[in-house]
Amino acid sequence: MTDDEERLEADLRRVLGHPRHALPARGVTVEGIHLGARRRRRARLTAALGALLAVAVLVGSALALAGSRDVPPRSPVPEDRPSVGGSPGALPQTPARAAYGAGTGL
Amino acid sequence: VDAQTRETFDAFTRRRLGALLQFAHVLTGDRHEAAALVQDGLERTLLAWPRVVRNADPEAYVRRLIVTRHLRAQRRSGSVNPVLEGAQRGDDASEFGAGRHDAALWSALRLLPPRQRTVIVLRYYAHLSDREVADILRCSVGSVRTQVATALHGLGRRSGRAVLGRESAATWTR
Repeated sequence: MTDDEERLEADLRRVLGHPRHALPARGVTVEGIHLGARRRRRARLTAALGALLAVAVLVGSALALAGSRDVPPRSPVPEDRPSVGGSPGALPQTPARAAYGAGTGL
Repeated sequence: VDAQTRETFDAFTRRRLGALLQFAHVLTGDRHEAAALVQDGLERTLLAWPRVVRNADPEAYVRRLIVTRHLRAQRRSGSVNPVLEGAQRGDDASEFGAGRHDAALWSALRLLPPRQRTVIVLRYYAHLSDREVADILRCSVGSVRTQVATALHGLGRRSGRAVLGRESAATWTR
């Protein structure tokens, strides 16, 4: 470090420690700090409750939407559906199916 | 706030308020901003008081809040020229009295970019190590050293010029 730099650092310490920087504490009081902190705490609580409410509304809406999707819409079942093979779900017999059945003994 | 928190916090505030205001004024160069920053910092500290007392040095905690709030405000205000602002409020360097060289240095300090000025204040006013400054500013020690070197260069150039412009070279070099 050069002499100039050392001098500058010493000057800085002196200027920064000058009594002009000592401020009267009139603007900041202990009571004012407590008041401000109370206001802050209330604001935080309100914000947290607001966020909780928003989440509850979102979750509620999502659940309501999902519930309405779970109930299948009533669709008319065709009464005159042709059934082949005796059971309602049986598939129509095709030549390939018949050949497969004969090969496996079914 | 329970009685014990209130009691210990109030005692701390009464004891360190002057020092915190002085720190904030050195940092900002503005009395009103300094008071607002200290008020804000102490309110936030009170809300976290039991944790602050348990884990850290309360004064260091408030100082960190003051620094981060100040730098954030500076980033938001962006183009504000602190010297012109100060001059408009009549907050010039005349209170240094006969020390014209000190006044020039103070003016030069106010012209520094906020982060460089913060590094200088933490190092030469608060007497923190580079590691501690780096912790507060959440940057590397190398970055702190670079900022200090740049700031010192700027200060020497600016304050030297200001003094040389008004008086003589002998005043600066002594």
